[in-house]
Amino acid sequence: MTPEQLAAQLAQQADRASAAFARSLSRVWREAERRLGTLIRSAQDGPTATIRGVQAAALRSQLRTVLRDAGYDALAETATAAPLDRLSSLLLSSRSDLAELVARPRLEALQALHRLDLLDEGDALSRNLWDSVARGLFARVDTEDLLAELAWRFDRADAQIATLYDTAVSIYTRQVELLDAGDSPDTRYLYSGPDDEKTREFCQQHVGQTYTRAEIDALDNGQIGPVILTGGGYNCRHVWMEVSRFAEA
Amino acid sequence: MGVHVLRNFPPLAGLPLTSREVMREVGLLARQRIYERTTGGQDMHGQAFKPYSQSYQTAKARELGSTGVNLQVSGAMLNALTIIEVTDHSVTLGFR
Repeated sequence: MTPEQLAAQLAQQADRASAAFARSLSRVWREAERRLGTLIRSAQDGPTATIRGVQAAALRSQLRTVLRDAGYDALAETATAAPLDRLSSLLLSSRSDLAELVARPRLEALQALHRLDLLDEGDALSRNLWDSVARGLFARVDTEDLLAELAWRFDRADAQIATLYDTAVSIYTRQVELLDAGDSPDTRYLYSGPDDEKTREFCQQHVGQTYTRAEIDALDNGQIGPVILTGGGYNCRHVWMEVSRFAEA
Repeated sequence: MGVHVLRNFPPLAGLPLTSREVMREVGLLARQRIYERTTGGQDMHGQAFKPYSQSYQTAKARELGSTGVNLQVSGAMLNALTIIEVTDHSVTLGFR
């Protein structure tokens, strides 16, 4: 298999994994919204501010449970297991000489981190839902208006969480650059990606600059390595783009 | 008196001027130039990109603090530009 063919296969598998995750996530949101509707309607039945306050406090822990019961945590587990395993198997079976470079323990560590990232996003979503619910209950917002606001929260979370998952998948496809580039310490790479307010310090220092493979291997992003695969770490939007020997240094 | 020309090399038309390795380097060079030109805000003609719409500019500034047109938000598009085929005589860039 040529590197280009492997790249195409990895890209196909990555797309399938992302699409499957997006579909499953939609089902989770629909289930969560259904459960949330029941919860909100019963919480709004309290006639006095005190009762509403007590119900709101109880709701806080129930919101995270809603997500869990709707299948979010289970999805985070399954989406970071088999699909990512398939990608790494495809890679390693094609290039067994990469075993040390992209060792299975490193890939497993990355999988675990991505799983935690997804679960953290679930926690963040339940906190955002709580903000809306608490304000809605005390202000006696109409139930349907409150549910509409919660639906908007789910929409925002959907885009963010899907992007997070896509990032996890893209780390595996980054291997392809390395496959074709080879292992020469003199191969040069350009650190490419956005440079804006969301760019972390490590990436700001290096974006737009070229380094040899040896120089990259000596870098430390302070999160997870190797830097040639993970860039700046979690949710990094940057990649190491091989540059031509004919390019100006 | 005639002039004799002797050739002690193969026919020039048969000389391999390129190879897969050379075309790959050409592809890498082209990709880098596209990347640097685009992130510098220039289109394929070397002209500045048309500005974003006001609403998009406002939204991008709010989220990322920048308003310049560089076709980058997640970085995924430009990062996905790659060599998708290379032969002894050609190289094709595209998106994974």
